[in-house]
Amino acid sequence: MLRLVTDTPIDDSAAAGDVRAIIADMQDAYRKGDFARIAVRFADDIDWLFQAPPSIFPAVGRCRGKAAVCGTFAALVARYHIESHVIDHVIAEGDRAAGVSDVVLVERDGGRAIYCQIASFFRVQDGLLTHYRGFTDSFDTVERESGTVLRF
Amino acid sequence: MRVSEGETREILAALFNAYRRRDFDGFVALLHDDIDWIIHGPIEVFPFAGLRRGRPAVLQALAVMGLSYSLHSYEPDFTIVEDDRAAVMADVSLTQLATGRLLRFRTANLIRVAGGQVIEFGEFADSFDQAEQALGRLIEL
Repeated sequence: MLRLVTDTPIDDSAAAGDVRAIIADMQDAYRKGDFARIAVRFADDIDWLFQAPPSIFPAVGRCRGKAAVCGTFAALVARYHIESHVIDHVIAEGDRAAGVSDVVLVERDGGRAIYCQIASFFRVQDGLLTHYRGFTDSFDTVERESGTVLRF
Repeated sequence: MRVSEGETREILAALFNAYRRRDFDGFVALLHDDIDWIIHGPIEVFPFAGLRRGRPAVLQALAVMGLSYSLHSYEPDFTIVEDDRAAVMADVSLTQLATGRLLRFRTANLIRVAGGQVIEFGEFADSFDQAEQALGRLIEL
């Protein structure tokens, strides 16, 4: 089981306002599809993990390094248009933040809209995102993505 | 009335300690009468998942959970608190009572407190992986 390396103490020298501003800027860039602006926020050694089946979705699983994370974004936007990305309430403390986003992806082939909620955890250092962890109800997202009710 | 981070942290610690100790009464005492509770996951596999409103509905979900699973471990390692809200990541393992199978997964909990109790609780995990663990096999697509 992969864990975020977070057992280190919270860096109180990093103001919560800073991490909140960084996330707000990234959310705005998401909405505008400006991935170059998002990439600027990634630390070179960013540690990224989205918890969902990588065999089904692009941009999930674990990535290390800016180039690898940018690659997952490229795979995501090649398959989906991000129609909406709204985070409802950011909880921030020191160098860390978390929040739940309402996301609508639209398949470029076929036009199917996929709604999901994503719980995101962020850690920043020197104005750059160093750690990201994402969670979604992946079972529901698989059903929405495939357009079928899974049987088992 | 504004809730301090210290108060939120105390409620959170009490909640997770009660959960870890299997102190059902202690856990329930920390749930607000008007709680909104949601565990994101397939109800077909986890009948205690989904949205529950109000303490009685949450108690019913917990009772259903207790018929199928017992907590093996709950280890939070990432906690953020701001005013009345908190976000926690934890490693969790549950024993499936019918098979003895151990389910291991990572959870994200989003919590809000009011009046000294939890009034919002949300849980996310990789529910597709959870379902495969619970079923003991891969799900065909």
